[in-house]
Amino acid sequence: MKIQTLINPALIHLDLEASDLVEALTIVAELTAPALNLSAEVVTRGLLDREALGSTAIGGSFAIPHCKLPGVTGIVITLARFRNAIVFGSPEGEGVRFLFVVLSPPDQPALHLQALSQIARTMKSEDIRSRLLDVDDPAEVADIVRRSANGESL
Amino acid sequence: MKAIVVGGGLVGSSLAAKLASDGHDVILVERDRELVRELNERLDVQMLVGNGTTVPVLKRAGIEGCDLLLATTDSDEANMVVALVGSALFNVPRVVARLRDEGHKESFRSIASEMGGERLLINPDTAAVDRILSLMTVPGAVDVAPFFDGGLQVAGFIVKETSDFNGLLLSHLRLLFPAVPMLVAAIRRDGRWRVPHGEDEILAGDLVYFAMDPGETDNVLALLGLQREAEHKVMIAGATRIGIELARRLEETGTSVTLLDGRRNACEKAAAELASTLVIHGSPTDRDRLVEEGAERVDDFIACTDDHEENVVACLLARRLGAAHTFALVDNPALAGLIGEVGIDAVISPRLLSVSLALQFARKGRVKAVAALLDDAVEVFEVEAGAGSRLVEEPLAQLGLPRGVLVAALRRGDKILVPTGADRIRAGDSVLLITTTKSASRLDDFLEAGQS
Repeated sequence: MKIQTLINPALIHLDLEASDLVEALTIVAELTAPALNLSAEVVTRGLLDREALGSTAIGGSFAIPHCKLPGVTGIVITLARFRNAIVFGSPEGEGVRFLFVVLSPPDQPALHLQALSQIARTMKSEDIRSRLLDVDDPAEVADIVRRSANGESL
Repeated sequence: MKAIVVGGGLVGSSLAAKLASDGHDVILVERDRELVRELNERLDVQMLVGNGTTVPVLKRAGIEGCDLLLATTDSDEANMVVALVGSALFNVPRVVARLRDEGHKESFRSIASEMGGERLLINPDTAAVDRILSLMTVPGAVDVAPFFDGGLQVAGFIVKETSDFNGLLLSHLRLLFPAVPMLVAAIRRDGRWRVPHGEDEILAGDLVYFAMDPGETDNVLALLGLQREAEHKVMIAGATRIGIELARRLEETGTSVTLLDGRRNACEKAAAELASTLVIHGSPTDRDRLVEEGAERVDDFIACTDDHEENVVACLLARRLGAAHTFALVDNPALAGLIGEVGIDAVISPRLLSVSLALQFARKGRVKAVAALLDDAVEVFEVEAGAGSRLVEEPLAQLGLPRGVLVAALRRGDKILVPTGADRIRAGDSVLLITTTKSASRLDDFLEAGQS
């Protein structure tokens, strides 16, 4: 399983706005649910339930909201960038602008974990993070993610 | 505590040195004057030359008032005599005897059944077989040890270049496993141990010990790039006591086993004792023979001949031919460093296992379980935090624990928690502590201070 094969430019949204975590995840759910044939409420609930176990923010304005949902047949990744910073975790928690949203089938926990691990490791690079916050074309975002996950230089 | 060790072999001398460094009053009794001279040069332990099976010698060693007696000579009979004299004549409260023969064990148990005190009988061969079987349940693990009555498993793995752990920060583990205990207990990198913290990164080539919910084993294996085979093929090199016992125990689980030995009479004996195991006459270091018997298709290759260097060579060969996992019986602690670097998954030392079991028994009371990781440089303790314990006073960050000691996990009721520095241990919690062996005695002192 390689995340670079799961990045779909149609599921990259770079110009979003939300006032808080709930609104941000609701927007993401509405943008992703049609591709999954699921209701947006189910997706929002799943992501919020996971967030309740502990923030998925990984530092440097990035977070990886995720959950496993019945009815999902293969891992779906949505990339969502917000114009403003959204607070994750406690009120003093960190501001997040870029979300890697991972939705996985419930019966493939290992693939789900591999996807999360690959995203977390790729997003350690400050250079890659600042590029992803900077560029304006979804195709370019997809390209940066693909190449950095492949270990290629940018 | 006053301890007497009878027998200065590898087990006896290691035990004496360990107990002495833990701060106990130890005397080692050995009848071979030459060996005593040699040990005196290496060890800071009091020695007595004499036959430890005799009452006068034991009296001279101070058996009256002794708290712990360990009989670790190479002879079962001698060990039985030492242990029985200690129990029957001197009421030593804790006695350890190394007995290889199950018949001897039975005799000993029936003689000693009415005697006071606690006794531990150690069979190094059985300990080795138990260890190999537990390692085989977690493919690719270098080491596996259960804690909290099996609620938490400490397992060590070498991280491969292609593993999904390669490059992961320890702080990411909470992202991947938010609802279950999962942490890195210790990392060995370039031959050195590190006490880990959140900003540490896991790298290819690291030996990483995870403390984890056993239910997550398959997920951890997947992230490591390892997998369980549905049908298990096992090849054992060496129709030794350990080899035969291992084959017999594997037969019970329906595993298909091939047993290989270069000695015809050993093969005949094994064939007579075993049922479904295929016993083959042939040297385990003969490449063509290994190919012929299908070593390249086995999941686990275990070399347990009496020649431990041959075991290493046989494992290297089998690995090169394509055996998925290899285990070598090796008693030389220096060879333990071979793990991972040359492609041996794990080395099993019956002698070091005996030492661990005896130490665990010696420390019993405050400490409920203990395991030494790999080369003995790191130890894991499970202790009960009593009401007066120093562990329960303050948040963890302010406890003033000795350097090199990590509070890895707590069990409170039926919940297992991974604490942060701000958390407090409560009286009645079980506590999992990781410590470098160097700091183990300081940890002991720390725990002791709270008891008085």
